[in-house]
Amino acid sequence: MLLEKTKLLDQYFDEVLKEQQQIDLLLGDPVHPNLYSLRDMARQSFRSKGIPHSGMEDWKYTPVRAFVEKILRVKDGYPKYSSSAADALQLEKSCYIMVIIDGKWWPHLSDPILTDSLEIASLDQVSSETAKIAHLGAHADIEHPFAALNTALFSDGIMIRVKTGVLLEKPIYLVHISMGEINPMFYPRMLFVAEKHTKVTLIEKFVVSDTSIYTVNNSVSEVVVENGAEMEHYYIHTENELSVNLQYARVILDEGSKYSNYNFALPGSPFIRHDLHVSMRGTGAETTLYGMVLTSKKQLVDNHTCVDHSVPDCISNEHYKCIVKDQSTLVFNGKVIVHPDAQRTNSFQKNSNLLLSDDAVINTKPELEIYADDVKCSHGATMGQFDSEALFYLTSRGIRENTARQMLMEAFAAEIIEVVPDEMVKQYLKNIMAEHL
Amino acid sequence: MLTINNLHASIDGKEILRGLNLQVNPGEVHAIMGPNGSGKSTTASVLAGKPEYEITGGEIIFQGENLNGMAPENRAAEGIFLAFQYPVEIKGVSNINFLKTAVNEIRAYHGLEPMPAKEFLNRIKEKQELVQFSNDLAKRSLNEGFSGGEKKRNEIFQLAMLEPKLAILDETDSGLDIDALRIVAHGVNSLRSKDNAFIIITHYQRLLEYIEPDFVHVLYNGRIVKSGTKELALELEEKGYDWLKSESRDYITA
Repeated sequence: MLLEKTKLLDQYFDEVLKEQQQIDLLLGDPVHPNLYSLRDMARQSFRSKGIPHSGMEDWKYTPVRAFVEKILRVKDGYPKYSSSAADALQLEKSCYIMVIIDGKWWPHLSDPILTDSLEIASLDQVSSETAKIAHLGAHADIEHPFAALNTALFSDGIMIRVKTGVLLEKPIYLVHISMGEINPMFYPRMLFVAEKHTKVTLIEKFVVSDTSIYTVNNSVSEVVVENGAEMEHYYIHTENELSVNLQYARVILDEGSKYSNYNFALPGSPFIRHDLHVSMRGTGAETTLYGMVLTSKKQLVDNHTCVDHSVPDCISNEHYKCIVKDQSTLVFNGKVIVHPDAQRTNSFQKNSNLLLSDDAVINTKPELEIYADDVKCSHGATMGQFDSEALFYLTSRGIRENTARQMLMEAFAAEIIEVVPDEMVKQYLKNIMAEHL
Repeated sequence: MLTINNLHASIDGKEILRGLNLQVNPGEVHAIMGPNGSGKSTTASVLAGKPEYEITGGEIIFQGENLNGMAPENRAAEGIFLAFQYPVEIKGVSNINFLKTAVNEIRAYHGLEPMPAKEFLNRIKEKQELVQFSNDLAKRSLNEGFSGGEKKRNEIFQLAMLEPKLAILDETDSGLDIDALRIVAHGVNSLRSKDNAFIIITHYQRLLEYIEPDFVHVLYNGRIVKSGTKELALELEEKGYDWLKSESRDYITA
């Protein structure tokens, strides 16, 4: 039975891949001149590995197959989500809103864009081909099974390009709505380019709608921050139990650029796997990666980050904090590679966890590979429970135990929330965190 | 107000209080003194309801109600306050927010609406002055990075904000310089009234020069072996606690 199911899923992807191959042959290549050969390699890579299993080091604690397999049963009437509409647009004021449904951008639902500072377009309609040709498919690593699958199958992606020298005041807010309208599994593809000396804030929020079915979102983002540019990039996951997320992002940092990523996952989605790979390619680049994960019920949230120092004088700073409840599972894998040429690298990594249930599991693994000698690097992982002295102190002042626990969780999360530079996002996060704690 | 009858309490199976008796009436200040390990801090913790302690015998009656098994938050709402010997630092919880939550949860316990913001802020301002607490301290994370003196002043600040009926000060004088001691004592003295009571637990007589007790008790081996007026404190200061050991042995064997 199990074997049969396994075969079914592999068969499914085999067919989907073949179908896309035929479409590509038929329609030629509207998106990218080299897409056909790129897809070919991606297909081969995916076929050679298949859906990852626990025997693969990067997927040891993350049984992804079971979550992907469910898409096969969607047609047999997998229950629809029927609660109030998604809280998708709470950030609408003072943002450029981009609505993306099942990976497809809906321009007529989105804000008009100032074209002299910013280009936002479907990948097949990009006006300046230069940036697209230089970057699309150039950075995502197709050795990663889901980066390969996305590369082989994405249809129309979105490109956001901030034009040289533009300091964008309003954040760009991408609302990713998982609905499963055509297919329960879809392959959003994003290319974000902050050209030289620009400044931009990107907020990506993942939600479902009230008509969503069970979906698997297999997305790939390629992010390029050119010389002297600064990007603030937020991920906010507030999906529900019908939405699975397999997210891969590769970030390229040029000379003197700054990239800050704030990654928030809240209870809801049964399965989130994030691969965030930052490559410091230009000297003097800086990156900060902050994460706040709150898991409950039977959720599994897996963050695999990798910071790649390949040139001298770069700084990376990473802090992920996680509150793990109920029967949920948390995986954190933080890799830092300091290549031989990357002298005078400063790299700091911290992962702090609050384990609040006997049935919850945390797997945390810092991985440092240092091949240069003049570096400052540190890493640490901590695991804790409620401090009974702190609980007694609060309750001895008349604060009920539940409230006291909530205060302590908020206090734990505050360290990450407080560093969020965007006031609007910070306030929003405070509110939704409070709802879930 | 408070009657402790033949109280026995233990932690990790080890008996610390062995038949403690104490009667506290409204308007009174009681000092409990005694050598290290005599059960002073245990008395304070047990009164406040610290979960690690187990009451194995006897009873604590507070305003006619038996406190055995009552949760700490309910004791606080009923009017018991413990000023900690070692106040806990809680990063990420602001002092003000903490006090607001405490004040309003106690009000909710009594079926009252939350305190209006303006009234709360006025009260903060008034009580802050009492212990010479700056706005800056009040806004910071709870006790985080506070000096020893600031932490103890914060305990008295909280006491002033919550206006308990019975306040227990657990070695509030430890680690205080003379200026901080004066501020703390001034705070306590101005909060004294005919309706509330204080239990001051201390190792030294020094604090009692500033907060004058009505009664002084000597705790030894988990029970009160001697009671008297403030002169007893002076006597203890002079003679130390060693004489107690022989005397209490007689007391026990007698």
